[in-house]
Amino acid sequence: MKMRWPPQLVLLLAEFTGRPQDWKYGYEISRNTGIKSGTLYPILMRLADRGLLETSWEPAEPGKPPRHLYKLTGDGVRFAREQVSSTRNAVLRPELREVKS
Amino acid sequence: MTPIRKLAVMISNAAVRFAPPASQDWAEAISRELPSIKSDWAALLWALGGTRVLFARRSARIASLADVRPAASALEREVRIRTVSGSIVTVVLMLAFGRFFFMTPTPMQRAGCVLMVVAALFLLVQVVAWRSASIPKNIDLPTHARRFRIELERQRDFFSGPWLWSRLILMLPGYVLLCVGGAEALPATLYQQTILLAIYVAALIIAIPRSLGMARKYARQIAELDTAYRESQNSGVAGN
Repeated sequence: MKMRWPPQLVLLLAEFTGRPQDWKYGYEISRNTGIKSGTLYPILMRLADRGLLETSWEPAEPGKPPRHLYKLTGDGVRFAREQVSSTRNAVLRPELREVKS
Repeated sequence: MTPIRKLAVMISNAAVRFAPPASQDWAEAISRELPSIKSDWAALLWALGGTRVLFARRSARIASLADVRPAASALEREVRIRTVSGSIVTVVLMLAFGRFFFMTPTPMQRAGCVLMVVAALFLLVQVVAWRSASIPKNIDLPTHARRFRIELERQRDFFSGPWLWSRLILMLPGYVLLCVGGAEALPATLYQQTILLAIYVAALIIAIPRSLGMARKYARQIAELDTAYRESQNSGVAGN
């Protein structure tokens, strides 16, 4: 099914595909990708709604409220790799054309 | 804590408090990141961005057929709240003007009360007639999308065209008679009655763009739904 995703999606997915088994915090993702909260959370919500992203609360510690954690699911990792590689190809193609000419 | 940081926390807490139930977890998630943000301004921007997200989520965007079920649930909830609150308000209005009918000394004000009760009754009938049509959860996605589209059209029509204008037009004459009758019975209250009438007319005028905005919102969702449906047909995927 075709979906319209914001351009920042690939940045976000690339951040996850680096170490897909690791849980990440929202602010950590924002800091590493430069995506603001107003753009980041709608993408996270949509990924979670589609079963591509797993969410969890970190274990509570005294005096420190637990934070929300995010990790791609198996389907999410596959989706991320597809998206990242297709974007990489789309970016590389014009360069390859230049090299050939 | 600096004032900017306090403001960020305040905004974030308000977002958690007012977030719709489906977004509560997300509101908490955005809020819990604040202590990890070192810069106060960054924390404020984070809170503002997060709040915007939660408010935008109230009117769900339909990017694909997968969005239909959550969007339909959100619409059902929204319409249910409107039906309940609208019914309460109109019944209270009918009781208030009905009671005032027996208290007011002038025939003009009595006529105003009758018209206001009729207008409130008309409003009640509309609110109840446009109550949410529940969509069964176990139907397949394309059927769900079609039912959702019909419901969106119904709700769009509630906020535009003849139904909107008939509501507004019917709400006006009764109140005008009440105010004119009041000023006639007690000329000393002319100024207050004029102010009351002006406030009432202003409220009706404000209701026009608000209603048309709601109609536009539903029309946008219909257009998004149509696009998503077409895309799903093109890609040959329209599963459950």
